[in-house]
Amino acid sequence: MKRLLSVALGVLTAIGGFVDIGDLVTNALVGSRFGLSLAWVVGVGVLGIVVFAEMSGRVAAITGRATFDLVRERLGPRAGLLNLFGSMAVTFLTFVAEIGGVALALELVSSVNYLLLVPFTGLAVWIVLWRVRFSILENVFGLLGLALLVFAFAVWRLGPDWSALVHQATHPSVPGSEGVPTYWYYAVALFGAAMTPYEVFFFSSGGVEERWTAKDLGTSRLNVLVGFPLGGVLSIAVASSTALVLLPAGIQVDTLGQVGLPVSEALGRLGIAVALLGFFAATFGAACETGLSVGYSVSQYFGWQWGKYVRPREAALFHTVLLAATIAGVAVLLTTVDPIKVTEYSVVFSAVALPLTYFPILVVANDPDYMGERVNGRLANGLGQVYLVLVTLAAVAAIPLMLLTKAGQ
Amino acid sequence: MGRSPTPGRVRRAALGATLAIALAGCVTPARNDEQYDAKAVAAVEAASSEVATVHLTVSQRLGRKIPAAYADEVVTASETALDAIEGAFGAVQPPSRGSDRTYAEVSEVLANAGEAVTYARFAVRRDDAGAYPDLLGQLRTAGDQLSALEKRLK
Repeated sequence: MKRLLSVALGVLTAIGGFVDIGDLVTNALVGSRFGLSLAWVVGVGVLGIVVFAEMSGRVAAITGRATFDLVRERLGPRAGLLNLFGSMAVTFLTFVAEIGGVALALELVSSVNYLLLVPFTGLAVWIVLWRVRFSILENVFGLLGLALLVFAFAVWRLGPDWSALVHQATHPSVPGSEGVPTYWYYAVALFGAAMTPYEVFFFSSGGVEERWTAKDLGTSRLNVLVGFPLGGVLSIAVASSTALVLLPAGIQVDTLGQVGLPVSEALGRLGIAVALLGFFAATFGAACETGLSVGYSVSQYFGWQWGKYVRPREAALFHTVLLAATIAGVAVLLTTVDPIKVTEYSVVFSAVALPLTYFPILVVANDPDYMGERVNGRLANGLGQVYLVLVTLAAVAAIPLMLLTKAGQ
Repeated sequence: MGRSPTPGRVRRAALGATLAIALAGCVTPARNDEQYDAKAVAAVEAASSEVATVHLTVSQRLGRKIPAAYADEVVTASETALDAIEGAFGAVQPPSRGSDRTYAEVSEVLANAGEAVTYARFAVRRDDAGAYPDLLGQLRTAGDQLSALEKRLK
């Protein structure tokens, strides 16, 4: 019974923790402009994150070591440093977007300008990273993130023409009001949002923090195979809600406040209160995950003591990186840069950095010296290679599409 | 045989890419009437979205579906966005006398939309429920003006 509860908790936190500011904003924006004609990208992205999260979880359970710990050893210090720089830059940008997202969510509740809330948000994130136990951090925000299920409930209450919705999702086409390059720009952005690199850093480092062994592989796979796809359903619910309410009204999402309007339309004040709780939990939880991922990557690359399972004084450099990243993140936001724009750029740059993250995982998961009998099977390898081609195509196309479409305008 | 990337070349390429990305979201000049009209359409489309957002928010506030603080934030954000759209369009130099007319028409419609949204912000912040029905009418008119102009410019 205890094991069943633990598995259920893992799956629920995987669902609740799947959506972050990038998923929220990108899915809402895409729903309000393209309806469900890009829903297929969420499916492709979710399958990709499932493939690589399973691999990175397996690597963590078998070797007892996390991604960047092995990247430097397997690829060498120079290639490892390039990898670290690229992946960390994107994770830091995502961290900035998440802190901004928390401040924006709090602004919607308090009417206090988000810029005044940013320093307090940064302080709160840092205190949680410093003091709160890993399992509490993961479970509390993951479970609270389930509040975003209110979007699925809102879609149901809006009483849509389900067959029309399914038709839109299964017969993708470029809407007449949008250009083909813009469609593909947002396809790349959605793909980047679904496969954000920090998710695998956090997942694999979390596995090491929780001291996974081969015995935990079943639980880890269940979290990934059930939790992530259901998290993807949550993303599609967000897109569906804006497609149903905002698209017909001619509203294109450019603020977090607009994302919640379909929920209030369907469910009133109670609905929007739950959605706000979901916004807060999703962004705060993801701020902690991205902050930790920055600390994990740097510390693992340089071979420092890292993690939440050791006292801060025993992992002083790791905690210094967390503090420095938080201060830098707050400083970036205080330049008055729009957090939603940061989010939009962060998901596109995630796409650019995808091969840097996923190529080494595929290499290590295939190396019998590390994995013994638990190397990738045919299915994992086949899917891994297909996705390596896809992430490379997305990485190559991202910047030209951004320039061509003026960042999706 | 291809040339190997030297550190200098890599730095120049990185700088070029960074500048290109930084400029991707900037306002560029209109070199002819066609480009100016395209900018006018983009400004009107973006303004329509903001007016529609405020309309939906005010109607939700009228139905008590949304808390006052939330409505205030959404309306204020749309007002700020409309100001930015007006400012960005006004900063583009019309390339010919013919496009001065487009400038005048778009500016007038944007100003009307801005005024309707500002009054909506006044009412939402005061929670003046009695003013909402009239405001919804004003916002609908502003939205219709924007749609009509958008169709004509296209």
